[in-house]
Amino acid sequence: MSKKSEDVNVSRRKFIKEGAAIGVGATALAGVSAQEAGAAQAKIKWDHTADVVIVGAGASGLPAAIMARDQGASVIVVEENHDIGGHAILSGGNVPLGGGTSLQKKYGIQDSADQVYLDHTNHKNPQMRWCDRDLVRMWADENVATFEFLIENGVQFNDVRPAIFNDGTVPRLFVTKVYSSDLNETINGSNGSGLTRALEKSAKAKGAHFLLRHKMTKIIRENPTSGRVLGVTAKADNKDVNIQTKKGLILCTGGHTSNVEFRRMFDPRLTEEYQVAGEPWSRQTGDGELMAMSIGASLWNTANQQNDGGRAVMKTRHIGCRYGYVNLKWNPKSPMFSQAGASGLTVKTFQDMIIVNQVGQRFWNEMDESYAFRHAALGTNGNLGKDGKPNGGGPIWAIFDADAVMREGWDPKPPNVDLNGFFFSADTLSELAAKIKNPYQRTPMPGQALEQTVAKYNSYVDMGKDMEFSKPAPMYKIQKPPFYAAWSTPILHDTLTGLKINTKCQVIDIHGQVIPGLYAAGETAGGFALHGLPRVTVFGRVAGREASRGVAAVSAKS
Amino acid sequence: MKHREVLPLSVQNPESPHETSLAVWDIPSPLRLGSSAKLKVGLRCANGCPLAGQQVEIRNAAQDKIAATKLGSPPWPGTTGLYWAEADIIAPLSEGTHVWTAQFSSSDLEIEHSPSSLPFSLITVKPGDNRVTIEVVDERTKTFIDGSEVRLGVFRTLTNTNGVASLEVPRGTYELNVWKMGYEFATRNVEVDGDLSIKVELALEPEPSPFI
Repeated sequence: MSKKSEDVNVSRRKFIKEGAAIGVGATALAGVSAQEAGAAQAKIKWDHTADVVIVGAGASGLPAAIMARDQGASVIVVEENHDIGGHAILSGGNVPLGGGTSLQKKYGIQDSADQVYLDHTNHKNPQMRWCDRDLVRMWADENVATFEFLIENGVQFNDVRPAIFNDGTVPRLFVTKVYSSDLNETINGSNGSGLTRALEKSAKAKGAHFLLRHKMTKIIRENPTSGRVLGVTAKADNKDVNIQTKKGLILCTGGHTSNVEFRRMFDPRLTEEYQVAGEPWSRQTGDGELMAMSIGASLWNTANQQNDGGRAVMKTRHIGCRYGYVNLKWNPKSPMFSQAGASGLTVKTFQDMIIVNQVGQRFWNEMDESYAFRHAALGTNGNLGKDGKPNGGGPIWAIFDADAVMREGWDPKPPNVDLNGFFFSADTLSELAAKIKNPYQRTPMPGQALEQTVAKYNSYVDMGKDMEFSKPAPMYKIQKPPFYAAWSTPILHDTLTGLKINTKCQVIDIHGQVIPGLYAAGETAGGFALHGLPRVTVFGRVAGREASRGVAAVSAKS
Repeated sequence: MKHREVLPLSVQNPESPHETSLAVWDIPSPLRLGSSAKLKVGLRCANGCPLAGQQVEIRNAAQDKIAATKLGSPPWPGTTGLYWAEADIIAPLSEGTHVWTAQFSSSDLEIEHSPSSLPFSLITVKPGDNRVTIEVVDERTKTFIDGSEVRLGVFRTLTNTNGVASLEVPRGTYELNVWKMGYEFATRNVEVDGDLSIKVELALEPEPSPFI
């Protein structure tokens, strides 16, 4: 853990002392009456109190914290990790907000909130067609204000003419600058650090308090499924810490992709072999959703989790490592590298390899980058369903030879590859198959099957035609020793569904009623399947604003 | 009486034969009917035994012996113990894909080794008498692209530094595929009925979406 993060890990004593000095301490804020809070509250010993409590210090939690402070609310941010930034600090820093932002105007780009709305509800786009248009409309209307808010709070963007993305009609994509050259600060040198570290700095300067290594374990409501949300219990140093909110609790916990059982509610194929982009730095455990559901919250727009668009499931681009997400290559000098294991071998062309399943068979055209490939990888892949684990596609391996290593310019050694179960080499194909041992490889790969697969593929190379999977003009045989097997199992990224919210980011229960005092933003919230920072920053900012106004609205449509 | 649990033994029987496995590489493609050629074969013992001097045979689908070669030393570069040799072969006299096998069966080794075999294929073609010249340029800059992969049916070669490749092929209709890493495939059907010159323009692959 960096010294920086130690500094922001506020102890209770320190928090009270400093908070009292600026008038937002626990003592100063412990003013909620017994009548207002109900009987449940009277039994709870609150360790901390603030107007607004936010769980999760990522790209939605940080804007929420700043916005709530801007409205005059006292703020505590509860974060499970040892540091601030969440998944977003490792992101590409892509912030495609439009509608007529100052940077768009600088480049003479005409845009409007209406056009943003139309672009993000286009039925031709699988990520957009199932979205909740109430939420998209609110989001479109808040684009400009959020972009300017980010700039006002210290976020710097690369001053480059923006690009069009995601089938949009107007250039909107601006990218944040990497925050610094210090990997202890940026964690992996990603552009996303320019967003999260800048917002962190602003939030602290404005008086938001951060409780790191505090894992939320419970949402406290007046009654199990009725009444106002009063606060949360978090576990810190193996002790329960109760944190009270006077105005609102905002869940910004980052989604559920790392929670195998939770993600399988939407897609039973997503068994344990699928790793998650952003791990091991941050885990999307679904705790916000689970705890909100336990007090009556509803999920929303669940079709979006498997809409065959976007980046819920991704083909790996860096192979031979556990975490091979295309936009996140672990830097060997990152403070997280010992846990990440390896950087991976970045594939220039899938002509240089075949991709096989756990029983050594090809299953699809390796050149295909579409969801068709991902579905094939998640297919049965020879699993007859007789082992008690019929779901999932099993481990997927890239198989290549010494010539491929030369063509790609790879150095197949650590730190590029993870020899702890994610990369193997051998003198022959049969020996290679026998070496493949991995916690997720439930059955040994038959050597003869791999030999036959390669012999067949090599004959297709001779013919210039893939007779099984139509790989375009297969170019290179796999023949020259040594041979290699590199982990190439699809990796999960986005959570595209979550808690039901209204346009004020208030969480809605299973009866369609607002849960008073509970808000959600970012990947924890459902309704809008837009990937990345533009969604989570806007909803975080709106949630911070609305929560700081306190409990008022009760309509799900408000 | 309490039964004692009997644990399965995981220690390999020291008298078990050592497993062996094979590799075959550098097979010329395509081979002209009846032409002489060389390929490489390698043999590996799972226990790392030295295998120099051992014989590997090449047999066709009817199990006729095509070639036999004795393995040399040291092992193939980059491997931990793949003993290898070149084998001289004569291509079949019939056109098409042929599946052969490399085979090893232990003879004079002190420790018994399991036999092994490995299937591989080769493709044979009639000699061609029509010269097809292909010039490859960048679609945007019109500069020559060297090192492009050129496939005309089963015939294959690379472009030289002037972006030119040539192939001698029999008359017929072929699918022409031209590709280089970083460029999109260029594919078209070509009727060969005499010498022919073709110009191919390759377009760069689109940049991946920055929104990732």
